[in-house]
Amino acid sequence: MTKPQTTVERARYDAQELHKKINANISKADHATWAEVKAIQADISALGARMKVLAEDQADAVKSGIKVAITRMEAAGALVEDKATAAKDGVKRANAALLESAHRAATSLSAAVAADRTKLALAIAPKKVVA
Amino acid sequence: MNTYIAVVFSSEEKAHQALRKLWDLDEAGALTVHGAAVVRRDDMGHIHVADRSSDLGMRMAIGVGVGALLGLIAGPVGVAAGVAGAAAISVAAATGVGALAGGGIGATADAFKATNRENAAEEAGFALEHGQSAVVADISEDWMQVLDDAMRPFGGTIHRRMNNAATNAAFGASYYTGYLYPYYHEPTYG
Repeated sequence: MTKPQTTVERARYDAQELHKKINANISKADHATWAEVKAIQADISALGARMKVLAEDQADAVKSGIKVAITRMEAAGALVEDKATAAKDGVKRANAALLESAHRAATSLSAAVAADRTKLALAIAPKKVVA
Repeated sequence: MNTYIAVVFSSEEKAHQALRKLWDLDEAGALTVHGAAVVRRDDMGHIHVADRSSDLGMRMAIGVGVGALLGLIAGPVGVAAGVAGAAAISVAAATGVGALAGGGIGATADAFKATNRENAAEEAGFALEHGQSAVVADISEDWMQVLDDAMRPFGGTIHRRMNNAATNAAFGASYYTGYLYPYYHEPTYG
């Protein structure tokens, strides 16, 4: 697991952790509950809010990826329990949506991390000597 | 520089060590891993994806993602020579997943435009032989030397394809969905 050092890296780390957590919930199959879904939704919403702020400092290509992720996160975070549906089916669908949104969050933030690292690499790269 | 990579090893153990090393490089900030997975080709020619998830949906997504990535790196020539020689890709024990992911590889040849044939031939060195394993990943690297140096002790052979406009134009921007593990996971085969 990535050790976060910057704000963007911290957000990416949290997205990775959320992905792991959702995956663990999915692994419980029929034993996964709506209470667990709601807890993850709260985490997803909090991360989404942080990503909105982070997105503003990014280049357009990275920013658009983050915004797509935020949209998916908001949709997954807004899913509510459908009493008419079998509980296990509703939980399964919600977890799948959350997992997909967490994956998008992790990869879009990963692009932001890469962009930051490239900036740093360019800054410390040896400069050509002009004759 | 965004790059799709496949690093081929003679053993599973080396591939697993290399996966760990790849994420260590990410942790150190030497490169950025967007997603990675380990695959192996068995003696029967089947390609297996190491995946710990018990969820079929995620396993399918990863299987398709790996299939597409292998196809991207191999190109149509490489597919014909190596990867597509595998009967199917299977993710753990999930039958049916293989057909999907294998289809992803097969589709590469169709998606690839004729104008890129020369490029494909050049990059067709990638082939996963029976008994070999590979780390496949979607990464960003600022110095290629970093990965080259890191993989050398494991004896891995690195194959790269640039993730750029030309590749996306050739394969279609939505060809590779990017679904690989977005963090280190212990590779296991179900």
